[in-house]
Amino acid sequence: MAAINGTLIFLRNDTLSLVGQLDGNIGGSTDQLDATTKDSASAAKVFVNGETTWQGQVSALYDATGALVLDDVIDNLKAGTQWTVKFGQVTTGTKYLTGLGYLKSWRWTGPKNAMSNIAIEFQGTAVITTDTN
Amino acid sequence: MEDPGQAILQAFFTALSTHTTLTVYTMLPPATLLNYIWIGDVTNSEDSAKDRYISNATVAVDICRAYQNQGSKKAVEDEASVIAQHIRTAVGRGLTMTGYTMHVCLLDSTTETVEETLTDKIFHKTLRYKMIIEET
Repeated sequence: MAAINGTLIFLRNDTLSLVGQLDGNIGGSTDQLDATTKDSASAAKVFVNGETTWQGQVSALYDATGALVLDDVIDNLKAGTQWTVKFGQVTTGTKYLTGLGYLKSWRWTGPKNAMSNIAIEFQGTAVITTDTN
Repeated sequence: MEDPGQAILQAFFTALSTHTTLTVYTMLPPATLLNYIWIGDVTNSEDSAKDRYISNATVAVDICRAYQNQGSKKAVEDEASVIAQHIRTAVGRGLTMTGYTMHVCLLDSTTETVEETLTDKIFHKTLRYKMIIEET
């Protein structure tokens, strides 16, 4: 068994890791095209596999210092700057997912008596692949 | 991750020692001394981000005054008020620490107790502070 702790999973834009990361996730899906007709066998629905996509979200502590922080996220979102999204482990020999993506949203929270957090969402474009550090 | 216990004691000692008329201790004072402030009972639990160490900590500040025969707890209440005011507003929301950053420092609870000996009536007021601390 080689299960790993989620603490080892980071979101990066190419080589830069978002500062102060807390929880993150990434997911993919495919459209299922309904191809059912009146004469489909056994009155069962029939589907054809359609286009695929992927997206994810990450939360982090708000920290204005570092190489990839909220300021960069906001700038990249406004400019439509494409990220080389990498999501996974970061040490040599470990796996991660990678693909091109755009920033979809950002949110900065200022709670009372707790750490200030940010949350960002990203949307992948084209395919996502697996790679090794 | 390191344990911030001693740094918390030092931060509170530095903050309080110049703002109170009572002697401040970070270890239990001698049994014969009945008028003091004791900074003790630190707790700490880790709540880290992926790329840094952050913990939730608490510390108790015990204010003690003793009287023979007649006594009033007003002096203890006044001392507690001075300390609470100092920690919350004069110093800000976080005390200066060495090796750590205190992001949040709030009064979590207060408790009062009274002891009576054959010769003294001893008033205690304990201020418990909760903090969010980041290792730097």
